[in-house]
Order: sequence, then structure tokens, then C-alpha cells
Amino acid sequence: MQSALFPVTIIAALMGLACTPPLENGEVGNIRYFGEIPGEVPMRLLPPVSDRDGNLYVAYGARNRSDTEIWAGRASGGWKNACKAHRGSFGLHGFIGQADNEAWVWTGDTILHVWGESGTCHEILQQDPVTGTSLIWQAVAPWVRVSPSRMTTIGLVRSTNSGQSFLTIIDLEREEMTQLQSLQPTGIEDLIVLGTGADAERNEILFAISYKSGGKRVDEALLLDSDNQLLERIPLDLDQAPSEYEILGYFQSNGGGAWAGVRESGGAILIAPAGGYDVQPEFDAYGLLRTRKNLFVTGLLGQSTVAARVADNSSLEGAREWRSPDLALSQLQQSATVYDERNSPLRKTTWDTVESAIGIRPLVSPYPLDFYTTGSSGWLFAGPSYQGPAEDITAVGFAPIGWVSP
Amino acid sequence: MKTPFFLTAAAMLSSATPASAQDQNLEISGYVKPSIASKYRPEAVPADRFLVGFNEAKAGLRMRGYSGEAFDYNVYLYLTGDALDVLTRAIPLDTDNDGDADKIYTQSAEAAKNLLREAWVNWRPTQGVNLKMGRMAIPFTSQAQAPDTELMFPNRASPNAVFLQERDLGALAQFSAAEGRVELQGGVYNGTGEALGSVSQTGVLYALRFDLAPLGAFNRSETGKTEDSWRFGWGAGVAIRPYTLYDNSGYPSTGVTDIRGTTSFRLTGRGIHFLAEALGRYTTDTLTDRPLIDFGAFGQLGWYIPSGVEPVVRVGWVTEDYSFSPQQIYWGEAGMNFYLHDPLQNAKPVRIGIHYTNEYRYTEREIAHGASAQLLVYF
Repeated sequence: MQSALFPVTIIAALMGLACTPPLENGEVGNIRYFGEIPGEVPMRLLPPVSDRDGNLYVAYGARNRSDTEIWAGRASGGWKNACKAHRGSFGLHGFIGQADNEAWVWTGDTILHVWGESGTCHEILQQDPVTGTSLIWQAVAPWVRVSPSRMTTIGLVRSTNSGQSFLTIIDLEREEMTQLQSLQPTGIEDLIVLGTGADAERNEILFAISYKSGGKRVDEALLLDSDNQLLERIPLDLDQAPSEYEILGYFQSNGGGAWAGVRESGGAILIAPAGGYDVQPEFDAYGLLRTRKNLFVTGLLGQSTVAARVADNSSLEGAREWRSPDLALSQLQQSATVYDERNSPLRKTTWDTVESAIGIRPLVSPYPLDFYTTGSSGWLFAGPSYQGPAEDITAVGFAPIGWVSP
Repeated sequence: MKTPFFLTAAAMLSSATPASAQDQNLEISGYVKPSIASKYRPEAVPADRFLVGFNEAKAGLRMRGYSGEAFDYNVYLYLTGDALDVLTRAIPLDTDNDGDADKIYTQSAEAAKNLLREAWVNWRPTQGVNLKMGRMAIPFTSQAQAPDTELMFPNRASPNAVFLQERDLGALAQFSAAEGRVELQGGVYNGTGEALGSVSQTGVLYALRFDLAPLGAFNRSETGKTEDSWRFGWGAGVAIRPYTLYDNSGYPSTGVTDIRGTTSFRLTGRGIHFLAEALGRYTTDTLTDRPLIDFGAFGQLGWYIPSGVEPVVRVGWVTEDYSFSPQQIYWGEAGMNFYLHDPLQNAKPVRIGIHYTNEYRYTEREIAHGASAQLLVYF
């Protein structure tokens, strides 16, 4: 009988390992020191993302700068400055998705394709294959649909010599556009994009836009699916006149049909199928947090990190304390051992001071937090800095932070 | 191009001369399995949506012999029409004339896969003990140890393929007691070989499997006639592989521990073949705080009816990357095997199989259908 229990014991042991989170709430994992980057805290860096193979990606840049730069760290150790690339007047939008060992970045008018293992990248679909004119990627869904037969996302594009914008499927594998359809209604003017979002589980993509049609200003959100089918046009009733790319990061979905985006001017836009509107939370909104079941608007109330849940009807519930960022912050009060991966061989070193390199608090960001593991997300940490020719040069490292839902 | 390759292989195999080989204490056997298979993926672009061909045709040649009473050897060559695409040419293309390469144009050619499926020498120092060395199946899952020609379906269950690598080079110790009712196998193997990219890995794979068959030992055949009496068995296996990853400069970067576990239940009797296995994997390393966790299971049932017809069914499930981005995949398979018996021998010289497979990738919202027909001829 005991021997019969042996196989059960093995599987139970593996199940037990699987159910144990790798990091506790607020715990900071191994810091992987990858570069020395211009700037002071908070730095001009986005929250890092990882691909399925465990390679890491870091984007340097800002909304008002054109010096986007990408770093790629291999799952097995070792980092590389993948590329510097940008086109267009607006700065860095953000990562749009990852696959097994690659990631894509939307910066200005262009899309970059980054390979994690080789640490290289290049611009894709920069020209209209028919006319040869440059393409301007006005909106890109922050979701790469990956399956055995496709690797696609959705974009809104126009060429430099045309005022007409097109919704298209971007085949990221073949680097081609397919299923182009012109943005309706025809004859729209002064088109601006407020922000984009995507919900992979619901197969929904959101482009919030504003344009003039028939002399009248129209603010609306286009709800599409990953096959470029328009599902809905949702009217937006905004108190403040929208400006281009004013949503920080991306819109995020609560998984039940409601969306939220943090405005650059403060507050948030909440969208449900019935419509969208401005909201000013009872705290200073700085970010969004998507958990398995909920979406929260996150921010600071006094010195405490708080979060307010977005309901399915797009109302914002009361703020509640979110301890994970503050717990992580409390861990950074001491020196830390870091893995220096800037050069081979990898070696351990010590940072006397460690602080969160980005955001107002750890894990508080308008960009979607990457699920590094179940219950942890990647973040960037700053170590010692020195005076550079133009500004401080700061040591930066990657580490996951364990967190639980507010 | 693939069909002539297969025919050449078949002709080569059929020209073997068992009579002369027997004089040298050598048994030669094998099989030829022409096959036609199709796949339908409704979500794919039209060019990839429907595929049909003879690519899954296979042939095997086995040579087995004895050297004295204590030693025996086995060589199993495996030929398949499913070739590898090998990169033969790569040309950088500058599509926008800016002096930088934007795309790579590639050309590839087909090359045969590893032909050597198994090659081992076995030493029996005493009753119930076997010591093997060479290329062989790793004693991990139950199904991996079933012979290629004794499978219920054309291929092993997909969950089994997710968790288990191919045959490997190594050494194995087998112990059996109580007339085969209890069996313990332990071995050391090379592991999976080179990793992706330029990172190299080195480490030994340790495998251990325990099997218990209370009513008596029985073979791992999954198909065809069975003894009338019922047999059943439990089993469990574990494979542990600690290894070190090295960077481009040849210095160690990460220590990795890969643990895989499996448990199985088998039942045969009165034409019934049943097998269920559950599998799990936990891989962790010293650097990333990111364990890799996968789970899976499958069950299959076949009923051999004395008229030579065997309806078969199999279901399977895998959750990949459970710890960071769970991907659920489900399989459903059904089919029929028809045995054309040689009236002079109580064997199964010819088998015709017709099977349908459905793969549903739940997380990725994609479904694929497959169908195949095979003719399996033994010699």
C-alpha cells in the first residue's frame, strides 16, 4: 500500500512546489545589474517586461524625447544594449507585446522588433510597400496575439503623404500588413489618438480617438477584436478637451467590459460599453494594476499607496490600502548584493544604496505590469550614480517584486 | 521528394536476409509504415490552413543478438520521411536602401534526422539484474518505454512528448523481483544536449522509475491481442537534471535544477488496453526567481475485438508555463485499428490505422484538426 502511495507523493510534492509563490508580498528578488544610464531617479525608463523564455526587456525613453534605447537580458544571464531607434515627434509609447523569445516596442511613429537572445532589434514596417512613403503608426494595440498559426497585433496607420488612416492587422512574423480597412467615417479631420489598450482574455482592443467630422468634434473609443473587426464605437463624454496621447501608458481592462486610463493632466478616463467619462479619484492617480480578477487605479493618499477598484459599470470604488509597494520600499533601506551582468563573467557586487528607479513607488505605473511570475512583476532599481557630462549616470538593475492584490 | 526517400528506405529494409543472420545469432526484424496525414487549422493564413502529405511515413530496422549467456545487444535504426529543414543560405536584404540589413532571405534544404534510435549493450550479471549502456529510452514515463510499433495511436500522447525528450545516451540499471511484479530502474544520461542560441549547458540527467504489477508482469504493448487474464500496474518516475548554463565567453552564469515527475496506471486483459499518466515539471535556477512549472495528463483506452478491429480513444491535457503565463492545451483523439492476421501465425503482421486528432489551445483560442491513415507491416 505504501508503494502505491509513492507516485501520489511525487505529484503532490510537485503540486506543492507549484503553489508556493517564488517571492513573498513586497519581497524583492535578485537584482540583475545591467547598465549605467543617464538620469536621476525617477529615471526615464519603462517597467521591464519578459518573454516566455524568460528574456528581459528594458526601454529607455520618455514621451517628449526621441532617444529611445532598448536593453535585452537573456534568461540565462548577460545583457546587451539592443538598439537605439526612433522616428516621429512623440516619444516612447511602450512595449506592445512579447512572444517566446522576442518583444515589440512602439516608439514615436514606428515599431521595433527586439530579439531577446541575440539582443538585437530593428524597425519594422517603416515604409508603405506600395508607395514607398514612410508609415506613421498612430495607434498600436498593446497585445501580440501569439498562437501556432499567427503572431499579430492591430494598428492604426497612415502614410506621410496621405491624410487617410487605416486599421490593419500587423503580421509580426512576416512583417506585413493585412486586412486594411479605412477608418470610418470618411473625411475625418484632425484625428488624434488619446491612448490604446487591449484585453487578451476578452479578445478586445481599444483605441480612444478624437476627430472632427462634419465640423463637429467627436470623442470615441473604437472596440476591435484581434481580427480587425470593429465591435463597437463607444462615445466619450470628456470634461477636458483631449490631447494627443494624453493617456499615460495604456488603457487597461478590468476583464468585465470596463476600461481605465490615467491622464497626463491628472485623474483618469473610465470607459464601459455605455460610454466613457472623466473621473477624479479621491487620491493622486499614478497607475493601474490589473490582477487576475480586477482592475485598480493606483496612487498615493498622503504617504500611503492606495488602490481603487474599477467596477464593471466603470464606476470607481473607494480607495483601499495596497501594502505591496510600501513593503518593497521598506526593503530598499539597506545595501544589497546584486548580480553584475554588464560583462562576462557574471559576478556579485554590493550596492550601498538601492532605490526604485522608476515611478512614484515600486509597482505603481500606468503601464501594464508584466507577470514575471504568478504574484510577481519585474521592476527597475537604481544603485550608485556619478556625475556625467550632461547629467548623472546611474547604475540600474532589474529585479522582480512579489505582490498581492489590494 | 520525401516519398522516394521513404521508398528507398523501405527497399533497403526489405532486402535484409534473416536466414543468414540467424547463423550468427542475430535476429533482424523491423517494420514499414507508409502513412498519409492531413492537418486543418482554420485560424491560419490560407497557405497554411490545410496540409496533406505522406511525411509521416516511417520504417524501422532492428537487429538484436546475444554474445554468450550474459550479454545481448540491440541496434534500432529509424527512418522517416519527415525531414529536417536545414539552413543552407542566408542573404541580408536592405529593403529601404539605407545601408542596413532589414530582412534576411533564407534558403533551406531537407536533411534526414538522426537515424540511430537505439543502440545498447546489456549485461545480465545475475537473475533479475540488467545493466545497459548506450542509446535507449529514459525510464521516466510508462509510454516512453512502449515499443514504437506497439503504440495505440501513430504517435505517443502529446503530453508525454511535452515532458520527455527523445532517446538519450546513458547507462541504466534494471532490477526486478517476484517474477517481474516489482521493477526498479535507475539511470544516468547525457541530458538534452545543447540549449538554444549560443548558451551551452552541461549536466547529467538522473532518472528513476518504480513499477508494481501485483497480478504479474506484463509487457508495455498498448495494442492488439492480450492474455485473457487481467493485469494491472502502478508506476512512478522521476527525472532530475542539475546543470550549469555558460555564457558566450564560457563562464558559468546560472545553475539550473530541472525536476520532472510522473505517475501511471496500466490495465490490460480481454482485449482491453488502458493507460493513464500524470506528469509534472518544476525547473528553478539561481538567478531569475522564475520557476518553470508545467502539468499534464492523458488517458487512453483501446478494445481489441477478436474479429481484428480495435476502436481506440485518447484524451490529454497540458498546462505549460503555469508559474507566469499559463497556457492550456487539450487533445482529443479517436480512431480504429484493423488487424489483418496471417492465418499461419498468431502474430499481427499487418495493421491498418485510421485516426482523428483534435488539438485545442484554449488560452491561445486556436483549434487544429488532424487525420491520418497508416499501414503498418512487420517483417
